[in-house]
Amino acid sequence: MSTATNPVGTRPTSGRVQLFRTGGLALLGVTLLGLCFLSVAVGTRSVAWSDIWAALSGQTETIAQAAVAVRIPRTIFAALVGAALGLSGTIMQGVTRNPLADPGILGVNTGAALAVVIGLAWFGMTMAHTFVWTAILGAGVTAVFVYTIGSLGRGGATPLKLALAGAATSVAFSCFTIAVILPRNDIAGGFRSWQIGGVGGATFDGIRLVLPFLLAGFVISLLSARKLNSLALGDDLAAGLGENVALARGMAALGAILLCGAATAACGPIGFVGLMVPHLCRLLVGVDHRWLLPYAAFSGAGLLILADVVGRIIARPSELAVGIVTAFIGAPFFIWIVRRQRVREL
Amino acid sequence: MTPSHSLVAENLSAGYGDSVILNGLDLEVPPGKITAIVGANGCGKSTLLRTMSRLLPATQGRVLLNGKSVHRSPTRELARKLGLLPQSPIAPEGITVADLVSRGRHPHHGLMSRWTRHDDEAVAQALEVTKTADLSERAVDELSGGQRQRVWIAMALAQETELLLLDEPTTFLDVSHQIEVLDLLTDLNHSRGITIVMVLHDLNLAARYADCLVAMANGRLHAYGNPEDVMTEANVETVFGLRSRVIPDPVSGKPLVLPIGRHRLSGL
Amino acid sequence: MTTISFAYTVAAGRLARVRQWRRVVVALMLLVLAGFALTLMLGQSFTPPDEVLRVLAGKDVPGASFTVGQLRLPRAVMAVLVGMCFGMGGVAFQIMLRNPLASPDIIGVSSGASAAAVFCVVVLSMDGAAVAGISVVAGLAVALIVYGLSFRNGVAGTRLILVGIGVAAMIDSFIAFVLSRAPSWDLQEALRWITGSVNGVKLDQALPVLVALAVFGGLLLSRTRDLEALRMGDDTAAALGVRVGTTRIVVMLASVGMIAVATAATGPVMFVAFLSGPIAARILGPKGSLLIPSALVGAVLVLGGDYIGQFVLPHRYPVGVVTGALGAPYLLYLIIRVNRAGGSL
Repeated sequence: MSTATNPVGTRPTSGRVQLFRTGGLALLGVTLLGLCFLSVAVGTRSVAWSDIWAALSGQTETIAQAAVAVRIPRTIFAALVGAALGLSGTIMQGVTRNPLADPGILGVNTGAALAVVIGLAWFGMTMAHTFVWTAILGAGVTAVFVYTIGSLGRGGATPLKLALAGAATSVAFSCFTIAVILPRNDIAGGFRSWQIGGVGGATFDGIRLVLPFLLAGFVISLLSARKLNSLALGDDLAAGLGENVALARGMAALGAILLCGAATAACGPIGFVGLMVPHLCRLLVGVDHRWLLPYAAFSGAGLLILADVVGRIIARPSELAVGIVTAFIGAPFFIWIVRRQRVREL
Repeated sequence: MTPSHSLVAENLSAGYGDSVILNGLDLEVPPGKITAIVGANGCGKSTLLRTMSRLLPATQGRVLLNGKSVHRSPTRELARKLGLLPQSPIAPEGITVADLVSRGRHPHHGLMSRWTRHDDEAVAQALEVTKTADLSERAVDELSGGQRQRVWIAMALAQETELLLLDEPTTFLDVSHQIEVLDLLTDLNHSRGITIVMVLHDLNLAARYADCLVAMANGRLHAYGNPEDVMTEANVETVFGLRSRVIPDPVSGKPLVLPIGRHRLSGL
Repeated sequence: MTTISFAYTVAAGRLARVRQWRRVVVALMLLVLAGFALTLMLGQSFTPPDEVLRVLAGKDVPGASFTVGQLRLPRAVMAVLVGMCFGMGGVAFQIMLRNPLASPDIIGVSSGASAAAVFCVVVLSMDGAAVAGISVVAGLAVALIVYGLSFRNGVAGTRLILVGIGVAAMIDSFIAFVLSRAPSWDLQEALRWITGSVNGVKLDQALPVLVALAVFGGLLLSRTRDLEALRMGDDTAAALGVRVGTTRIVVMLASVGMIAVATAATGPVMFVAFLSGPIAARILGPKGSLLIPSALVGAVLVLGGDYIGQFVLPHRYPVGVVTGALGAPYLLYLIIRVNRAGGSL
């Protein structure tokens, strides 16, 4: 397979490559379905096959059936959030041309958290849908802030500067978040479970709440694929090819922020999915974003479902929040990328 | 002054990780002279210098300073005999010239020893010889490239060693500063009898300033001796893969290499 | 003749640097002392200096003995000790790796020590010197892992910091996990292990920290000159007769040791290890070793941060929240500045 695709994607790719990629995507979709089924079937409580089938057809009479019924929204939720995180990571890496960009590493998650906490504590925010708006706002402001800090000075936004700016911002925002919730015992408890990052409490109502934002994010992201291909060549060359660089970057970033803000609002900060997925997908399909983005959405969904299932199995009889599982898979992956790259000195 | 020191590399091999860069090289540095090491990029010039000054371990063979292996000698003791100026030393931010140069006294001090008159004199002398005395209270960051290089040489001089190894002391300098630094090194060699070994990029400057030229290729010694003997058209072609004419330099009488490319040729 | 007289000029310049270094150190000591006195005298209520002195002398003073002797004194002593540990250990790391960003709290060493401590305290219900010992081992292990993972034909500072950030992220999520499993959830207690806090410390807890400061601090101070030489690059330091490898190992051992013991006592007080060195460098200029000035700056930061967190802000906050909120903007500033100047500490 030729992965050395023309990054702009103007040259028609050969039929075989096309077929290969379509087939790959279909295979990925099948795997995802399999994982979804696994996620419904496997959990902290072992249940019989008959109960699974009964629950899937809507019965919740026995405890086992009820347990399975809870896993259905949870699985859908994990798939949506995973796809959102995978996509937003891919876009962030494309927009910043930086292999370490990820909503978690850039501190965008903590920005969303801080915004939500401030809304709760100071503005008496109660309506669930304002939650999502606030989180997206917080995520957006933080993303722009971290990127600006990281790209100041010589050399633009190097991986190290971005990572450090993200780490520093994360710490500052966590401290502010703690400062806000410390006097407020009433919101501290909810914050505690939210902060670890999990999909355990998913309900169809909750999904309905974030779904519009996620859908908008998905559409904008997929539409910006071609623009990301141009941006990959560098701002000057992209402009030379007739791309409106600021517009392209703004649109792609908007999609990424919608996705990761909504995902974070829904289930807390989940790190490293957005980091791992694009790297894995690039190994599969190369650097053409028109293919990379769908692949990233599918693999992100699969990865998060898998991490959730793993979290349910390894800590029986209780369960491990998915954010912790992804951190333990993702951090070694991060280190692998750092070691592989010829990282520029600061 | 008759120099009483010797620096010899015997069957020396070294490299980074698995890649072997120096490959069984023998070299005897002529005492009291200026030796310049030249060669194409990646031929092992810097590796040779770094191995001879024990910054890099030898994978095979040995380097002897006055008959003792440099890799086995106590490093502080060695630092009193052998000075080294790396390619890109780092000046701590805001440090003054006098402070930086006095850091050269490090090998002469133990854990508890106090600063002596002799230390101050050595620093003062190093500053004067390198004509940086006027700069002594200035911050190193503010200096020009040529001035900064002289300050680093002053630091190495304050170390009071008989041998001084320099890794590309003229890179990143304007041509006038390159000449300034090489003149200074020649002065030091003449007045104090310091043996100088340096890696140089510029063939013509190397031929002009060195008493002894070492031409390296593929981690081995290709040619060694007087600039007149080493800097021949045949040697330039094998070492650099470059056709050239070598004529006597009208200024110094030393060999001058004129590269031959594919264009703008006349009179050949 | 001229050289001789110029030697006097050189000597005068050197003595001026020494004197200025001493002035800065004395001024910082006074500042630590002032912060210490303030913490002892002024809390929710004011205790006059003579009563404080009588309590310190071991006399029983009604009303003051408990507040000063039991509440404020352990707090102040602990703040000074851990501040010095973080300050000195942090700056030693920064000098050794020639990068202000390579401080133990950014590359995961503090997180490692904290994770071990939180596991011992919350899950295994241990306390005292055993926790400190395990924290030291964990901190060292993390330091070695980060160092080892960033080794590839030598250690590049950039790679080390990035690997450290990755390791720190993993450990932090482990801490979050352990805390979420804690049988009784206490936010204040949790914050100790996330951000650092001197709330409710006892005087006998300060003993291991004092010992660590004396032993590891002494070890670091004995390497002052070698560390100073390392600031000019590994090659230059080696050329000056510094055994770079040995110095690295000693410095890493000593600074991780003191930071881990301090972390076991109060948690990783956010950013003190990272901030003290650059602040000390800013005050002192390049006038000599930063180890002692930076230890004192660390003490001032923890004392001051704790005081602000206790009495200046509308609500009581642990010291780590204050230093974290103050330190992060400085880190951002440093990222911008380091990049612009291309310089080191």
